Amino acid sequence: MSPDTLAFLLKLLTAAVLLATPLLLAALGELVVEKSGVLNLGVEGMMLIGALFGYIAAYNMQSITCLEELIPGFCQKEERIFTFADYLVALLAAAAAGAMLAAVFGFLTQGLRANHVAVGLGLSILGAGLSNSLGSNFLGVNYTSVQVADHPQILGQDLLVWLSLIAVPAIWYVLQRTRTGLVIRAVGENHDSAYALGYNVPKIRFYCILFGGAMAGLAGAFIVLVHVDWKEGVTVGKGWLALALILFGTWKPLRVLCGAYIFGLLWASELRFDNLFPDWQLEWKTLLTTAPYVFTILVLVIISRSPGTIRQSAPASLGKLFNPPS
Amino acid sequence: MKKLLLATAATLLLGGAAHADKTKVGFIYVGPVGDLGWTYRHDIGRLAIEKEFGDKVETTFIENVPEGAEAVKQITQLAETGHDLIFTTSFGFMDATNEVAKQYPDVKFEHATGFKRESDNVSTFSARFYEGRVVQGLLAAKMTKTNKIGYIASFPIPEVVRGINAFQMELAKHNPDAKVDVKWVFTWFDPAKEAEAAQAFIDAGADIIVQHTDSPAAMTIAEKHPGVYAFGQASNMSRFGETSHLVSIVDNWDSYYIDRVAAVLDGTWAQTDTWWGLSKDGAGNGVGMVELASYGNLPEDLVAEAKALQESLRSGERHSFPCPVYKQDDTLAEDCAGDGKHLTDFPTLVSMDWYVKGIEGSLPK
Amino acid sequence: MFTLEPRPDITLWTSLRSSAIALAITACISLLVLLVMSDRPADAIWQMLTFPWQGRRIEVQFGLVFQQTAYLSVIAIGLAVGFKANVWNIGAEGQFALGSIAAYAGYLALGSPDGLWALPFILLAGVIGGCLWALIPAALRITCNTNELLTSLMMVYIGSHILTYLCIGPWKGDPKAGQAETYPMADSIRPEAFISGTELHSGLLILFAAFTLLAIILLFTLLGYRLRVAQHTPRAERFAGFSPDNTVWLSFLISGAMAGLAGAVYLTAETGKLIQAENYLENFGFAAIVIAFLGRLHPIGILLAAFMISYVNVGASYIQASLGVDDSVADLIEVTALFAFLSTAMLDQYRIKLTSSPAVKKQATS
Repeated sequence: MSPDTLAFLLKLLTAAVLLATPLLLAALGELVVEKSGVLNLGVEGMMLIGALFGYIAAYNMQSITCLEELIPGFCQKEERIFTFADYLVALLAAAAAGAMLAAVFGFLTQGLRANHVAVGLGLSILGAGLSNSLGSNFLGVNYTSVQVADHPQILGQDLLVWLSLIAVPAIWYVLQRTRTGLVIRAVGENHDSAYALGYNVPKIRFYCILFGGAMAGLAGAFIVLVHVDWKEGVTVGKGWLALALILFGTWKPLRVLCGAYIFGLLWASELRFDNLFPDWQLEWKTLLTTAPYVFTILVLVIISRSPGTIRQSAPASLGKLFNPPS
Repeated sequence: MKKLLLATAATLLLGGAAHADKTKVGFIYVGPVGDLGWTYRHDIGRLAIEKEFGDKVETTFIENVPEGAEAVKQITQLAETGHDLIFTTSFGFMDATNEVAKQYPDVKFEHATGFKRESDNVSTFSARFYEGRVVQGLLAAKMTKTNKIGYIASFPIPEVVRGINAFQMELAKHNPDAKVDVKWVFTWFDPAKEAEAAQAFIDAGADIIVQHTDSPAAMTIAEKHPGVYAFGQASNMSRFGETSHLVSIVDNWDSYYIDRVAAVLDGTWAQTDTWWGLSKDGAGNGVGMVELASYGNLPEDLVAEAKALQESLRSGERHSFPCPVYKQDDTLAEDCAGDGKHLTDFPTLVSMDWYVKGIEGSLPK
Repeated sequence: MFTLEPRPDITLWTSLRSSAIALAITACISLLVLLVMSDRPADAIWQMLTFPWQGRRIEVQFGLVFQQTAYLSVIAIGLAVGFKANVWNIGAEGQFALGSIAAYAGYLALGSPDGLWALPFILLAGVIGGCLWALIPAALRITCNTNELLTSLMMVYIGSHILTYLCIGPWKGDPKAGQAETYPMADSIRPEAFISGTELHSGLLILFAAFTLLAIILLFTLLGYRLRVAQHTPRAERFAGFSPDNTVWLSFLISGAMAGLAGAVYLTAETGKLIQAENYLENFGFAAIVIAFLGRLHPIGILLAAFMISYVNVGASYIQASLGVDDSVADLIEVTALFAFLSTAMLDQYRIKLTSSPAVKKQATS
């Protein structure tokens, strides 16, 4: 392999990381949710809300801090240096915002036993609407790019990239090797017997939902803090792809990781390989944009075809309504 | 409850009376005011109206209006709520504007970048943004070290193609070795995709990024790579590229908007089709719709050269597409046959769907 | 503490009662939203409720409301068939797009006619287009057991890119256009407004007719009965003489046909040409999902919900023009209503019983 090719592949991988990391974070969170037997289709909405609040937090800490409404006359004019602690606070804000929205889902589905699918779809609409109306102030005359700030990096990659990679074995370990994981899986496999064993099914699921929301929030934060600045609908369907990714990975963290990076590479290739086919008509390239979606469907088909894969790995109670015997 | 209703009725009546003598001007925006590009500049135009006419006018804007049938609803609502002049500021509003205009003959409509004027109360206006591209072509020719230039393009429509061609012609004139690579992203505003395209260009060795999309994402990517320069689009993007911003093409609708509102106020408004560049008439008179803002990160003599070029374009001393213009396949453009001086507005520039010599790739016919 | 006790059956009365509670909750939260988002909340609330009488022409406002109601209700009733049977087609937006594309293809195939005779064929082409696009996730679900919810959603993205592709390339229209679009259809075959100056055109009547037809089938025929019992258990389904596969086929076929018809009517009546996806598609396919659940998957409920949401929507656009209130209030009200209706559905199925908390119980027994 020539050094040029190697350099090219490295750059491709770097670009892929940017696209794969949010997918991976969101998918890992949702994986835990689904393992507990809940299908939350609101990932896209939670990502958007997480993105917005992460951005607002970072924006406020990076540039001028004005608390005019709270303390009259208090305005810290000079620009601050964005520190590691600030970054963590921004991430925390994003995770909390995602979890807050997830709590709405949890309350409606676990507390009030509303339909998972319907509430999840509603959550996506709510997340998009809410982030649009709250976020419009942050696209404005006072706008400065959070992107330009130096982000804490470890070995050339953002903290969240490492966090998402560490989360893969961590989530596998917790789910497979710890008591907590056993309980989560038990609830997801058969909520009736888990209930009979004395586990509070709705409560356990609620915690899993919160975790999923927090991870989706972080995924959104990564997009706006590391990749691009906030804009309305900045996640452009990544939440939905994260859902497909879980099926692709058949609820196994390591396979979800592979899937996320395959998606990432596919995406990064779209704009980089177009020069390989100079004879292509321009309009054909628009069809290239559908590649990730066609690929997703193909993968879903292949996975679902192999007998038993889905049935063996899918949580048996996924998406089913839980009625505790009274 | 009754009290509340009475109070409401009272405010409505009072409100109605207080506003009756004001001229109401409505705006339909395609994006959010804060997009820092296209819509943001239209909103600056709206504020210029408020500043110019003060109490005589009242302005309303509706942002994020989807193009297509949904626009009919929003434009209708502005007409229904007593607006006298309505600006619809994106090409996609063309059919909706004309449809609503037929129903409200007493309301004046101004549609940006369109060409349909089906009833007397519809005017159209657009800007010759390509004049700014000429200056960018010069700067790119002189600033590039790798001779690789990345051009991020939105959709293959005449406006974008004109920009690419104007850029390429000036570039080739000053630096025949430099090569423009065009990537079509098929979106006007998608920071992630624009950033990806910019990154892909930089990875492939480009050191100048030109964009005809609306977000500052490409600029922020260029800023992360020393030695890479970028041009701003629609609004002044210099603050996103302290070490990378060369010059921005800024849309400036202020003078046109003020002219049109003044015409409504004094009753002289009539249907027009306006196409302004750096100046109003292409001969150096008045403030046009195109501005070049914040030259930076450039050697002084190059700034002087660029400003001289800008002035000659403004005064009409030279045209953006001077003959001879060769098409991609090395044939001479029809307008340049015989004693043609430059490409003509109609029909060539308004429907430009071919590349000039030196650009690779094809455009749909 | 309280516990939930299942009710033996859902009656019309419980259903009406829970809907009333949901409406009340929605109304309260909507008032709150308007209070927060408007500088003149009293005006905003008043105009939001009475906007058709506030503007210059009442028929214009009702025209806008009925226009939205027609598109939303016709797509929603198609989706509801599947939702009832646990078949999750959330790709109506894509089927709408393909309906439009097929209708335009039909128009071209007929040689760009200008006589009104062509309209039924064009609409039929749209229906077929919507059906075919819907049948792909259905076929994958049946033959490969692929999750239809995700595939139908992916098909939306693919469908909208195909729309853009056609507008940029093969069917590119006027070269002067500032967006990717096809050449317009002949004006003479486009449904005309029957009240001049409004959005009320004969295309909407076709949509309402399709809605009524499907509603009658669902409510009064054996087929409708079979689809309704399909939701309970696969056993009941078989008992009713229906295989689960047939339920999937039929659900997708019906929802695809309705979305496709809506797409074809939208093409002929509203735009007259295809346009690049983001300027053409207006989320009717997604909004209809909300409508289906708001209407509790019942035809009459869906019609009421579609009217209510359309009224709120047009009202929000009115107060945006008159008072400058951001029209995202419509989205917020819509989602509030959705959540209120979904969570009060519980009241249909369960009786709430107050009990002493477990902790107290323990103390009492010890």
